[in-house]
Amino acid sequence: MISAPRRASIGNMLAYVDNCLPQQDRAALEDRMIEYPELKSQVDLWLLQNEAIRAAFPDPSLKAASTGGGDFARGSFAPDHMRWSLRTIREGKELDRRPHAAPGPTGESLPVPLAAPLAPARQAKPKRNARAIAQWALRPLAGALALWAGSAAVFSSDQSGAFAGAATAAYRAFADNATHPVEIATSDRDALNKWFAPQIVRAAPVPDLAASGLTLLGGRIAPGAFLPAGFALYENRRHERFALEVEALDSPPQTDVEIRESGAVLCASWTEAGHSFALIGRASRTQMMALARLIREGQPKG
Amino acid sequence: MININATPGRLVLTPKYEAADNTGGLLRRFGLAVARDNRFVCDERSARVLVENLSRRALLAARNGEGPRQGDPRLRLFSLFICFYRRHVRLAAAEDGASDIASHNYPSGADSSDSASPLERAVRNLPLELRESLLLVVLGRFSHIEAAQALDISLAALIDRLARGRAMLAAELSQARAPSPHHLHRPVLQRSAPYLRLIK
Repeated sequence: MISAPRRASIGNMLAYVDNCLPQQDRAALEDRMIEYPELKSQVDLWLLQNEAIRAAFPDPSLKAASTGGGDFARGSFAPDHMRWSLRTIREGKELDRRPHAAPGPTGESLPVPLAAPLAPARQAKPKRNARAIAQWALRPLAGALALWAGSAAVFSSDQSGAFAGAATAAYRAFADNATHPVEIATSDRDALNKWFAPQIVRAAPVPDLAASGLTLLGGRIAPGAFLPAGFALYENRRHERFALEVEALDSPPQTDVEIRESGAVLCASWTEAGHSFALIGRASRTQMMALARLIREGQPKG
Repeated sequence: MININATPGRLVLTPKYEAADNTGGLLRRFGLAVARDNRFVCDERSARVLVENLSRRALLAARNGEGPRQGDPRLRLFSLFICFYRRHVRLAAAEDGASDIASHNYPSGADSSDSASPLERAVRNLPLELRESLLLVVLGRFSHIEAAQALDISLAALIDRLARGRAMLAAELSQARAPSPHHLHRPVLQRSAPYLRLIK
């Protein structure tokens, strides 16, 4: 039995580990963990246990996809006859008409139902009139128009999405890296600007985020969507890391901040003054928006 | 997502549920982890057959309105699965002559020669009540309140089981001295001296 860790209840610690602690209590426990490292060690151990258990018992569909696991391994929940029955449930038909459909009251194992999928109900052929024919003829044209109208929006969002994806990948690769998170470790913004200048086209100045409690750790060159991008790494009092990746673009339209989630990592991306910005971190949406606003206000307008 | 249609208690599974929600995959993952207990189910194939059978029965029972009335339908499905699995184990244990299925710590042995990792073996060696609590939370990703509902126990009992399960897991792994994952064996709470020594 675990001896009750001092200064925090086991229930709260377990809830923290299993991600079901309210945000307020979570923050309070994180503060305590900073104060008392033994709590953090215990929580870290349990987090590692969770990860190890999830890795030891992988999703059978994924596991069997590589090993050819057969019917059991398919992504859908049930075997063929069950999938058919689910369809009938959705269509409002009664499942109980099939033989051996319900489980026995004593819990004995069920014989597999042998019923084949029902043929779709016969329906009267719709009468074709002029309006229906016109609709049928105009449908491809409307589709093409919609495709053309939507393509611009789709492609522009693809572009910002690609940059946000690249920035998130860089964050995952470097920010959590204990050995070499940055290529140049400095808290001096001018030094980092000078280091970026010869390596990146039109490097944007590294913003000062000290007002938000973030300390600059350093920077590195990371891949952007099209070009090498500047990657500045910050850290707060709780040692949570935030990264700002900036890539120069050829006269992009100015866009508002858009937040994308990738697991626990949030990426706030926007375009401004000839650059694409992506702020990445493990923080709340509100905190990310506030940081993004601070960075936008500090950037030279152009 | 799963939703309940106009008939109370009737489970309706939308196409999105089948394709994207992957509740079935999650249930099978949980089921396989719970069902391989080194005593009644010792090989992968038997476990798969058992889990498929039990999950099918749980789905049909959920559709027929069995299980807890309130709460997430996904939770109801897991709750029914656990209920059916316990019934299965009880029957198997009765055939075996064992009396207490919940607290019995099943001996490993049949499984020791297979390719299971030390962690898998340690999880399988946990008593059923601890194993299902831990796996429901870790693999099923249910909150503690939901897991307590699914197991039909109080929140305090669930927390006690989780703490005991995690402690037993750590103890068993450190006992086995398994090489991977090595960090799980570290007696973190007991460590008093720092790792780095100051050398003058």
